Amino acid sequence: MTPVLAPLAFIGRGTRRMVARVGNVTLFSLAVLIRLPATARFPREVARAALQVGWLSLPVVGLTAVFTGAALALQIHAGGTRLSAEAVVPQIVAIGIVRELGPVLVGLMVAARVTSSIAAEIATMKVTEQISALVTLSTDPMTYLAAPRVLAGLVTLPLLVAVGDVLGLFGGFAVATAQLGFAPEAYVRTSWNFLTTADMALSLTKGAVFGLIAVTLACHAGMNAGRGARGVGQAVTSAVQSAAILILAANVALTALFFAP
Amino acid sequence: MIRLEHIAKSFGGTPVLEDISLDLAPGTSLAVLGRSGTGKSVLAQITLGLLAPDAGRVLVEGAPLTRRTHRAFMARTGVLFQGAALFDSLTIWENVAFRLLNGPNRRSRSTAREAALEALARVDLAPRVADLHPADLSGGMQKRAGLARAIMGAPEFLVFDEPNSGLDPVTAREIDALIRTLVSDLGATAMTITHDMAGVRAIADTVMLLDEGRVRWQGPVAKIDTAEDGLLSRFLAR
Ligand SMILES: Nc1ncnc2c1ncn2[C@@H]1O[C@H](COP(=O)(O)OP(=O)(O)OP(=O)(O)O)[C@@H](O)[C@H]1O
Ligand SMILES: [Mg+2]
Repeated sequence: MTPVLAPLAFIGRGTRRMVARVGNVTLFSLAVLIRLPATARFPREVARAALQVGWLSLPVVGLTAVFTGAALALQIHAGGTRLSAEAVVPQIVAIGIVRELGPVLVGLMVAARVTSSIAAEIATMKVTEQISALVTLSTDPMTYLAAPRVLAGLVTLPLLVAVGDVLGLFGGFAVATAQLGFAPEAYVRTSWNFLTTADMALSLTKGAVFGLIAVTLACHAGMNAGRGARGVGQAVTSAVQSAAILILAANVALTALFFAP
Repeated sequence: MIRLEHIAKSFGGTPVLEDISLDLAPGTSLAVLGRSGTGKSVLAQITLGLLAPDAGRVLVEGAPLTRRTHRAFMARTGVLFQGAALFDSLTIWENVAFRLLNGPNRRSRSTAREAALEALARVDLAPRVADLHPADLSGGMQKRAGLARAIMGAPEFLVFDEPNSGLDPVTAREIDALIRTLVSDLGATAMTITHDMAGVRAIADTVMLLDEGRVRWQGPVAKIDTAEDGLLSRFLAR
């Protein structure tokens, strides 16, 4: 091969690998989804997963949301002042948090926290033959390991997003009333009246989709990990990277769908 | 009856197993010997249907392993993995009683725990380890807990990958005796991978020596001393 063509071949190989991977992940997701009802046989695993994915993510999700809401209020006020439109702070903060930043930040935080830990846990199980051991104990690893975690992601992420939305709005409210001179009661009323049911539905839908992405990719990477400690590391990196990118891409797609003209 | 026919397996172009055939008659105890890295664990994985061979096939009671028959095969099989493969997130007793807690025929947690404590006693583990997690146990203790998990429910087929590596000689002999008893009492069929010649004499009816991907020597345990095979003699000399 001539040196000129080498980069093209590299890109070609990369693309082919990526297409193959998308195919694998899609099949894997379907295989997990059809097993969701069977998770009823493993209530302990579901509870453990819900704790790991949902409950333990609350502090980081809450803090991220409060700080972002506060910063957003300051920014909108600073920008709005230049157009003599500083009164729009409550509305813009409400839309910004509920439609966009709440779900996206929760999704990304969960990708950082949960995707990495699930990928590492399952990859370690793969590498130490615990997944083979499950099979010899007549237990399907997809039903026992992947499905309960995916179910937890699907159910707890919308709840986390709801918490993130409320705390994000609170962050904006706190700064607006303490710093920017808004009257508390009027601020709350304006925000509340401005938000529509569609905004909230979009927010929660995004949460469910992001949860599905974050956990499914983690399980897929873990169960397909290579050998040794290196295999575990690679599984974690690939899971977190692809989850973050896919969450952001899905965010664009969902927003476009909801607000399609 | 488990039969392997012309099994071959390579990884990334490097052949590990080439043309292995083997009959495991019901009630026999086979010891698999071989130097480190000759593919003994790979052979066990293929026998268990956990790894697909590149060529050849595995027959259980005359039927090739398929998705359907594999389930039934696993339901009657107990396995001890080389690294014990205990589930990190569960306690020792939950590991040992895994089938009773999660399998198709479940028992209450208290019944399962009783059964697990019994199995732990058979491998000489005190009840106090029952509530620990695998990471809290030494390597040898993990091995024994793995063995307890493998023998739960009195399986018909047993595969042990180095059951007494990492154990002190006293416990190692006890484990040998346990395997022997399981095979004779339950009429189980066992395949034990081992480096330990004293163990081989104690547990095996037949011996198979793997070398460079092939069966180098195979025969009844009574004949190992008179076999004229350089490698086997070196194993015996250890
Ligand atoms: N999944 C795999 N991918 C690539 N190579 C593998 C895989 N499994 C095993 N091997 C290779 O196959 C060979 C045989 O491995 P195996 O674990 O069966 O050896 P062994 O006979 O059990 O050795 P030991 O006595 O040290 O346990 C080794 O060279 C190993 O590197
Ligand atoms: Mg081995």
